Amino acid sequence: MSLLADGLSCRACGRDILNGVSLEVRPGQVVSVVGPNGAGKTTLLRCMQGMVRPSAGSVAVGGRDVLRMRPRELARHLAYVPQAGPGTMALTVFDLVLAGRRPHLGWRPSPRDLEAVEAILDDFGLTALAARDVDVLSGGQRQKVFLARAFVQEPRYLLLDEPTSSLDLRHQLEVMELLRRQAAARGVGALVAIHDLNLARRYADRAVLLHCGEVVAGGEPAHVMTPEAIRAVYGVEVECVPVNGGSAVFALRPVSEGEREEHMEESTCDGLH
Amino acid sequence: MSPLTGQDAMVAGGMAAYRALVSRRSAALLALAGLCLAACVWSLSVGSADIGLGRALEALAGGGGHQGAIVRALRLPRVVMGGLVGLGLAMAGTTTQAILRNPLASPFTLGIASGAGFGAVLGIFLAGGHHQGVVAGSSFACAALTAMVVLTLARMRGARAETLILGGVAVMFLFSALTSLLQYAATMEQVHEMVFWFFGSLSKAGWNEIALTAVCVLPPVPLLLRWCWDLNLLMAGDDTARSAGVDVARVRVGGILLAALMTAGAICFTGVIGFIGLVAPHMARILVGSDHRFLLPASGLLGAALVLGADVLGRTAWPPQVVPIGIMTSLLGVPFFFWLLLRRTRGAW
Repeated sequence: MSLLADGLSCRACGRDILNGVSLEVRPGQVVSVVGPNGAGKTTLLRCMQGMVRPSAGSVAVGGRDVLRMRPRELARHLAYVPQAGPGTMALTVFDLVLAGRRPHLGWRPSPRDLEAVEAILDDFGLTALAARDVDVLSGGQRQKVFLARAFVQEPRYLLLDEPTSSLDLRHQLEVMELLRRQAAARGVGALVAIHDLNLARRYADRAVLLHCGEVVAGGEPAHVMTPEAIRAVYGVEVECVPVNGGSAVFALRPVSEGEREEHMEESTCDGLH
Repeated sequence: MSPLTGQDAMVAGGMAAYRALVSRRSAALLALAGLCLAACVWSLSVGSADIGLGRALEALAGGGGHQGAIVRALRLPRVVMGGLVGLGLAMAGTTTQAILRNPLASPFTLGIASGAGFGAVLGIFLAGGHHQGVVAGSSFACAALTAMVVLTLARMRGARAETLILGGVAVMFLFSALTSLLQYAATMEQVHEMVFWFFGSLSKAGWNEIALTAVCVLPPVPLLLRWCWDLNLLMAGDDTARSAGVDVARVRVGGILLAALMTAGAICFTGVIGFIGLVAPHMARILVGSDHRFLLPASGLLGAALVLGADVLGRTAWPPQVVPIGIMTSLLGVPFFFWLLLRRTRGAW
């Protein structure tokens, strides 16, 4: 029942944004997608959700092509959590999370729907905020609400775009812990586009390094995000320092273009196309 | 923060808080239905000839002699038409606000009302104001045409909210220019009729007109109510809505078609009744929150009550003059809207 992208390509504005991306997410697994700005992380997620038509390739859950599913059916397989925006919303937390039940909902929410919402609000520590408007919440609380909305939808897989961007340190960790725990408990796989390499290493079972629309490395996070790979893709010299039985990435300095080319000739996107 | 989303509701579990919220929203909805009914009865009994409440109700049952005849022939159609128009404009406004995710949206934003206005002016220009059928038909046709143009523009760009708003505003200016052009070219008598049409009036309504308006306004109501979860999700953003299985383009296009139909049906016989489509949804939002299962019916009831109330005030403020309903709703609506803008403590919703 894995989520499989196979040879996914996407062209927009005469430019290849994705070029033959293949990856797999298994139930209960968290897979992080890392790569510099413009590497194609958001497009990859949107392509997999069918919001952007890929020019080639396919996305399947358990062998079924998700791009051919009807909206309601698709919603039972995949849920997407967009990057948190400043948008205003007058809905209460409970209303918004309950609306996440839509793929299962009749017009009137059943006791089961209400119980599912109550349970997830409890799991996410949002119970006290249930009757508050979403737009008076802090960024961190709001991100939790959107994550809860996605989980209550009971999809098989989650696609998350930068769930920790613009969150403070504590909320970053809380959101990732929640994701990790809920994914494992519910057997829901998650594909997470994320900028913070340390969060990506710490909370993901696997990582995919994306560069100019192509997968340059995939596998065990520590093996994917090596100093060499980060230097080549991000143009930044880093050091891996041992922390707490694992290791963390510590950024030292940006590498000049000249130094970069010595290491990897086709390191910029222009070099690839 | 609105009174019904306050922290006082958040005792015990999330579900208890939510249950409390729902029962208070239901109570508010019931109160609004009562208000609407009261406005109907008030409107029936008050006017140039003051007929008591009891008499007015008696007249509805067929009695009441001469006064009964006044109530049945003049006031009842006025009340029914006023109620339908208020309901239609308010629900169309609520729908456009959700679909465009914009608190300033109304049937006017999409250019539909301007289209209807231009159509009426065109009808008066071509056939004269006494051909009421031609004026209303032309008004309706132009409103429908406007909706089509705006939707076609939007579909070409993937039905994004921003495109719809910009397209609608552009169309609004276009029609405003065309309306001025016709007024410039028209005879004095025609200009008089055109201006009068824009004032809005409930007195032109006979039962045939009411039937046609009802056909435009009422069938969309259950269709919109069926979409209330989708409208809720659209408020959270296109991507989130799509993720939860909403066919965003379909709901947006369908919602605009229904809003256009309601608006055109409401104003083609009565003229431009300002502001109801903008103000009623906001008042309803303060009372019942933004869950469209409650918001849609609440705004409809409130819209009907507002039009009826404004009509009564228009008829009784300076007797024997009748202040046109369009002027009255804006005169009452604008100060109220300012008050809303100033008292809000959160975002624009």
